[in-house]
Amino acid sequence: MTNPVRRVAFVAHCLLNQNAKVSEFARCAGVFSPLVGRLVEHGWEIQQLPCPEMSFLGVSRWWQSREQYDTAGYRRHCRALAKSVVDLAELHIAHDYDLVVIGLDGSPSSGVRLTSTKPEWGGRPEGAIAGGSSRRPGMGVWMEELKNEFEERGHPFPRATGIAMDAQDFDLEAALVDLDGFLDAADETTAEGARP
Amino acid sequence: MRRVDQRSLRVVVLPDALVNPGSRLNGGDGTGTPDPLIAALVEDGWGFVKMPPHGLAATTARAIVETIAGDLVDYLRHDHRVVIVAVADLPGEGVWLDELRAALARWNTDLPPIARVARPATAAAIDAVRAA
Repeated sequence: MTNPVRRVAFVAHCLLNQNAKVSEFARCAGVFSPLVGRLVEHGWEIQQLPCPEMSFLGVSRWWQSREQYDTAGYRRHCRALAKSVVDLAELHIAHDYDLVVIGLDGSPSSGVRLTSTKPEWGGRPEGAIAGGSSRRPGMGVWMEELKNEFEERGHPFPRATGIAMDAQDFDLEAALVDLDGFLDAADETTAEGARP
Repeated sequence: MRRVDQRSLRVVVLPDALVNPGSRLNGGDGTGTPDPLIAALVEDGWGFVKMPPHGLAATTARAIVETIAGDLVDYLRHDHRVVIVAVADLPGEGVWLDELRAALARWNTDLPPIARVARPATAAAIDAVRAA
């Protein structure tokens, strides 16, 4: 008899709740259903990460670049949230779960592979009218602090990907192909590690 | 050019046990799919705020609930509709109800309307959410 493989995806808050997005960035009404459908289909449980931007500045916050969020105060806020997330992750680890993180590429906070940049933003918030921030490879501030918390507590950061919904050139079809590839690879990894 | 923003301005607070009913953390065997109500809420355009599972240490859970309460206060201040889905036979009705009530009270905010559903929560239970 084989124990069922247990898997949990820690997903960026806004992938389950687009109401948390900064204005003009909600691409659907509530839940990004293609993600949830795929996770359920692949047998993943779902844990929702907090949105540090939402809890720090609220739903009416301005657009901000990664450089604007990269402050000691915001990082302290992210780290405080990360402690609870890793507590929850450790509970899953203790129950032999396989973990992944699915962030939001293009986000100044929740990007995993892609984040935002606009070093010149600051002061009167009219710069965004002339055009949004740019994108560059790298993690957002929140994901960095989450990764740091995992690692400082002796855990490798889980396999992670991001859905590039915060990129100006977001391509839904390509994003889903990418996500399927990530989940298929996770299936293979989990199957290899399945216990008799 | 302004982007089209598609948010619904509707948020539903959900027990972990409805999203992850087979979870080992909820005493399950690690299998199982979300209750049918979850798919109905997705289809209906609600944003999800999922509460922590009850296997979590109380101090950690309280910290998470505090953060969630702060978010809910902000949604309510900005004219969002917020509904709590509660399940009577779960500890804290599945949503850490006492802790959530206390955390909201610190911001002089009452609990949002509650839709009480039975498990497994059927798709038809969405009527209770809409009516709450």
